[in-house]
Amino acid sequence: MPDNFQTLLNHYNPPEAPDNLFNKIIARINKRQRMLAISRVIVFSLSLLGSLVAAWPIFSAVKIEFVNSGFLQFLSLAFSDFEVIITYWQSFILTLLESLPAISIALFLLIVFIFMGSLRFLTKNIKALTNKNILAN
Amino acid sequence: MENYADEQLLESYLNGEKEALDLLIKRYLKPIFGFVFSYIKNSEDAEEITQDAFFKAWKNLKKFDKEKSFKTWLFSIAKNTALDFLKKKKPLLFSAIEKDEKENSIIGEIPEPSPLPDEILNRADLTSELNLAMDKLSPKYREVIFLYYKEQFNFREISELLNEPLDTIKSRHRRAIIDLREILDAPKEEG
Repeated sequence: MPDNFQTLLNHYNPPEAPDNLFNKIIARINKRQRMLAISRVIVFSLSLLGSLVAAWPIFSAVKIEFVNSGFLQFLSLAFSDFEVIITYWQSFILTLLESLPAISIALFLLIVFIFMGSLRFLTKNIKALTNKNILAN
Repeated sequence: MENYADEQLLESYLNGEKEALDLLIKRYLKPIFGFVFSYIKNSEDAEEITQDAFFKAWKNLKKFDKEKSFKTWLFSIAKNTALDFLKKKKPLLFSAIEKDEKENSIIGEIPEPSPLPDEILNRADLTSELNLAMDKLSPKYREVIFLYYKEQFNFREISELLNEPLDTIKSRHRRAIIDLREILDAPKEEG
């Protein structure tokens, strides 16, 4: 292709972008980031509150199930009949594991996980909202 | 940071450096606006589309494939945003642009354009003449000229950006500069 077409097209000047276009773009992005941060604060506040409300009854249920399962009684054997436990340690461990109220423990850990996660994301988004230079989403 | 490559700026931004996004936008604001304008030929609409294009790019930054060219990706978004705008707000113009293709000639059938005479290059008002001539080109020709000569994309990159076969881009380019030359060669209307 003839080289002087490049020379010709070097003279082509499309209109310049308006001076304030950059600021408009940044303002629009910042506005969206702000809205996202606000909606996340709402969502994570609700999940934090929900996990707090759910934690107490679940914890109470875990306590009751521990008592009813016999786990504590089995565990106390480790202190009262230590030599027997040493001899039959495999059966002892299996018995302990079987008596664990696994489902309620799992549920409680889930609530704790939700609580910690909500707290983490809530503080991150509150920080983003209060920070003048909003960081990447 | 101003000398960082696009990919480095992108990485910095995703790691929390807001300034990196500012630099990326500043780097491509004029080229993207110029490209959109070459399509739309209206400053107000081009401003709106440019804003939308950068906003869409920002929303999808995390999904950007770092193996690919950021520049090509950004221009591709700008092009699609311009087309969406036309479809919604100027359907007649959109329809005309989509239909406006003189070919599908094979590139080999289009004569190789000869070099421009020096007379054209030496014209005193070449810039304004050229701007007017570019306005007369069809939008598809204008965009290829802009991408190839102003933004220094190669044909393969243009083909990827516009999602058209490579030979189509080459033939479109050749036709574009033939048409451009004819417009510049045409006798001026006496005013």
